[in-house]
Amino acid sequence: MSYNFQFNVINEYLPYLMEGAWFTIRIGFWSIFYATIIGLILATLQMSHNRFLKICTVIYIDIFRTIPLVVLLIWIHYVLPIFIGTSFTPEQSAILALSLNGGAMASEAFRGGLEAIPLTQMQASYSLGFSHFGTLRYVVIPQAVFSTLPPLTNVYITNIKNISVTMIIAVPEIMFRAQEVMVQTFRPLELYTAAAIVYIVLIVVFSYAMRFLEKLRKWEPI
Amino acid sequence: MSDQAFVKVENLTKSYGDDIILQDISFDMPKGNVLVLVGPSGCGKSTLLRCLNGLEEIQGGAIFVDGFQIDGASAKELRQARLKIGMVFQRFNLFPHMTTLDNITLAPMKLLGQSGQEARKNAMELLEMVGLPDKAKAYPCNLSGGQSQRVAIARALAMKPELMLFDEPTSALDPEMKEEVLNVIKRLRTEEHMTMALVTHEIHFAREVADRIMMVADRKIVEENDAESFFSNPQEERTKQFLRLISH
Repeated sequence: MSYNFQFNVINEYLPYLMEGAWFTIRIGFWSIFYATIIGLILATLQMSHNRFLKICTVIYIDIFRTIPLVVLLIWIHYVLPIFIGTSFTPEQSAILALSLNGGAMASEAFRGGLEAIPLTQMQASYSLGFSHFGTLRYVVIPQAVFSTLPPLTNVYITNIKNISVTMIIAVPEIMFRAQEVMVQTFRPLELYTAAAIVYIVLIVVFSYAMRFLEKLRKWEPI
Repeated sequence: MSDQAFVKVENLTKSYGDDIILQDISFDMPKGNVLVLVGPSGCGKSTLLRCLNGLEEIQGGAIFVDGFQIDGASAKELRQARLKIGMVFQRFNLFPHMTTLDNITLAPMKLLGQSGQEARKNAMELLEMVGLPDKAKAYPCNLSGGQSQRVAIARALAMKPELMLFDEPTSALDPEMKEEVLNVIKRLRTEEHMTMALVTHEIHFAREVADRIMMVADRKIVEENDAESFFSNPQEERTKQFLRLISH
């Protein structure tokens, strides 16, 4: 292969591209934030004894786990405004779609983490005189936080990768910006490689941060 | 008070669906008494023990502990009753995310309103009693089975219970470790005069520690007697058969 890499195109458009990277980080942060909240709410409702609430969560999870992200993005950005009368910025639509989708995934991770705590732990807590709520607060959740981290990390990584898909509704994240610059400079190899590297760095840094959180655990499950 | 029943079980029936586990069980326990439940595996003696603090619902009959009716109690009443009933499990069930000290002090602080200082002081005294003061800062994953079970006993005692339930406390332990746990239980009897109900397969220990022994098999109480007569002069054929089997 006799391709001449000319990375000066990256240098030349660096501020523009970095702005795209910043968009990626911002969308990633907010969608992970909201997905976590949605996931926690869904997992808690699923643990409740109310059948109606349980069915609602199952419907939510089934809907947002099965709609492909591209369909969800386009639906939220182009169809939803027809119903509600106001439109979203591409960034808002992206955060909404990624949060709804990520929330469904995160709730499954939380549920797995909560269910991984043996029933005998709850019985020990009840036998001491703790209520259901006290048992969740002092015994189940502090343990579940850690058992949830590895599956949750996978959910979040998928979420970050999915940000690149939002270019189809013109969210100016790094992949979209790379394409824009490419159209002007005809340097696809350098630009798409740069976009790839941004995603790799983001995810590597993120997963190390999550691993650091996992290491905060001073105890071993028994 | 001493001759009045501290624990009273009347015509208890326990079933899972159509499966009847225990039928028409009645017995009394005076305060300060040690009752040992023996019987073949799966006969429901552990289930019976768990009914006493309401961990299992019963389908018929009534259970009274210190005059309070356990079955049919509201969740809040049941929590109040459980404050007086300590339980020790076969697999210890220590909270793995807490140190030994935190395991023992959690419930007294959150449920009895003890200050941290007071709870820790009591916990250290209990750890002295079970011979593990040097393990206060250890996590359960770094304790042996015998140590874990002694911590679990200390955790239950920290609530100053009036009744202790032991569900096969030594079944998951090596012979050497059994001894250290059994010694703690013996001390509870001789020094604290604790009212205790134990499920165990340690027949020699049962003979030593029990005031009364109850043999449970085929859903019912086959025989109940004071410890000495139970072993030296069993009345029922089922009991004789059981004692022959386990004495091998």
